[in-house]
Amino acid sequence: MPLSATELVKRLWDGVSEVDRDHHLGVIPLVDIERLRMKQSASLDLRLGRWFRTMRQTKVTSLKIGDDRSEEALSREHYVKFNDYFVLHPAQFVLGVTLEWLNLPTDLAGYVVGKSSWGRRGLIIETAAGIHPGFTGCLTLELANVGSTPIELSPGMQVCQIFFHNVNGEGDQRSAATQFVGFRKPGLGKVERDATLDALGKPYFPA
Amino acid sequence: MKQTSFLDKDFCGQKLDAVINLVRRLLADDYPHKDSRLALEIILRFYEGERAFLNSIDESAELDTTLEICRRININIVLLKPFVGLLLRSSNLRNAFEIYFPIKVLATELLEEDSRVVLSSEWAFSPFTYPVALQQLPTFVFIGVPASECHNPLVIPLAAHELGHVVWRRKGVKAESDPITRAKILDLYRSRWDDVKKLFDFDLDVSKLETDMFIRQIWARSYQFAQRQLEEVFCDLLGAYVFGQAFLYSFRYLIAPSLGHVRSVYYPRPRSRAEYMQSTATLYGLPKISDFVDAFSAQDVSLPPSEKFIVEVADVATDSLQTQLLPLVSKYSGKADCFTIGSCHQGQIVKNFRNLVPSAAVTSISAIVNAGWELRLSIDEWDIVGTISDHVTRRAEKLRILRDLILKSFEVYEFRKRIEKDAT
Repeated sequence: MPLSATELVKRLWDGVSEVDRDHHLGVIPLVDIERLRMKQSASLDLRLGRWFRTMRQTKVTSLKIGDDRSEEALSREHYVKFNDYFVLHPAQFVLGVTLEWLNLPTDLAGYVVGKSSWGRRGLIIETAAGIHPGFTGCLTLELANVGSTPIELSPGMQVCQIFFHNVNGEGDQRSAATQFVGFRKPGLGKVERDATLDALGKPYFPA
Repeated sequence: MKQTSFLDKDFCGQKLDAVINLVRRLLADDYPHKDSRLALEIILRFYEGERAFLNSIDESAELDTTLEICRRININIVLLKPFVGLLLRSSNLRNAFEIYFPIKVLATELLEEDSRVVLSSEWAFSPFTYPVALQQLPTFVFIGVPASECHNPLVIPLAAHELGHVVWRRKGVKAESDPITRAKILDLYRSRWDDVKKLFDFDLDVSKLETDMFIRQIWARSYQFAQRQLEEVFCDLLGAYVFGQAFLYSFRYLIAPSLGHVRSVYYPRPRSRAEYMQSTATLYGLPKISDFVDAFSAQDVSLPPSEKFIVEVADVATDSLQTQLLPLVSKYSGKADCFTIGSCHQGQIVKNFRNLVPSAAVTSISAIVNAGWELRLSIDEWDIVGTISDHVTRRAEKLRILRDLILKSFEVYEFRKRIEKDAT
């Protein structure tokens, strides 16, 4: 069950007291609590940040698992100031980032979804992207234009929403989120090989 | 027009066209802040004006006139090109663009006017470029961070030093300081008159000190060195006033133990600068950094005796007058707050940084940077959850996270300022 607006208000960090990472839900810049109370929505709206990342059109012929090329080799950054925009053309894909820095306590997880009003205009944000308990940093957003009209992405615009859920059970929930700790820019992350994949790739019959 | 001057005019026109095309191409790029674009537009209009003027020279023009115009245009191409380069680099994605807004706010507060600020990177590893006042861009302040450090928010206090040069020149600090410096230099020459006569091999009465052209040329150099040295000290003290201990650490980070150059006579010895900063910090009630002064090499320059004397007098004057600069810092700092205003929030920000949370409500950039330095100085004691076991990689990752926390805090500061301004 997603947390209600009332529950969210209880969990949100006030920005003044010392943050309690096990309990507080940090959203910075701070959420307008009164607005959230009045809206009584079960989700938090997040805004688009100023950094973007696109895949390089030259030299990168394909993406593959276990690729040790750097983010800079595979992609390039873009910075768009407030009151300006990044044009996302039909069938194009760009990584954006939330303006908000999130800090999830160990007993909360979240799911990012797009805003329906943008979805109806063709802007798709990765559906049901999970945010692990203990996550901290800005969220990388995968933005795609599946419509037929170019879309202007303006930093500061409300672009997505998060539904929060309680997490049951014990465990070091933070470790799961550490690959993406504390980034303010959109990142590609790593696509690692794993032992099962390696085993599947080995010859079964003698040569 | 003779063939020779026609050819020079033709060459000059081609060079101007090349520069104009270059600036036009650069204007087609994305600029993260409008002041860079504005500066390029002004430069473009200037060169287009030069081109129109060159075109207006007809065949009846005298050879000397044509060559003089070509010479002037050449000089303007040479003079402005480094700034075109600086403007281009201001758009480079290596830069942490979040630094810009706080610097622009600081410039506006210090100068008490709407300043045009270009924050860029420099290939030279001098801390920041000297803000040459360009005739074509009189209201612009150019700051160049060494390219390898332009993502590092911990060096931002050094921008206050650079802005100090603009304060010194535009707000009348120089005019107030110069007569005192001049009087001090003359006093020092009078008190060492026998040495002066021996070193420069003349036998004139001390009463000729201010009237004899030969002697004036000698002490004028000491005066010039002392003026520039005191300007540097003023800028250091202004940096310490705005950023407190963070200024000292950023200075040490970039300069200590030395950058390997021979000491410039236009600067006090690095160790002396460190002493002045340390004394000022103590006056502000900050704890003494025990090894701060010793971190700098005792850099000096080998000079012939007469030159050594000229520099020595400037050094003594600077050392004697530097204490008089602190009241000038308070007087001319405009609307910029002293670091002490926000320092009560520093501890809270450090705690939040340790918990991987940026500053959410603090309106003091100085408090954010000082908190950043406090955590940087104890980086090895900062425990972050993670699976990186290698110490070096883990340390690098912590520095990266700290950088992002500070830069995000700057962005939140900008966000709040913009929202507040809109609400008023």
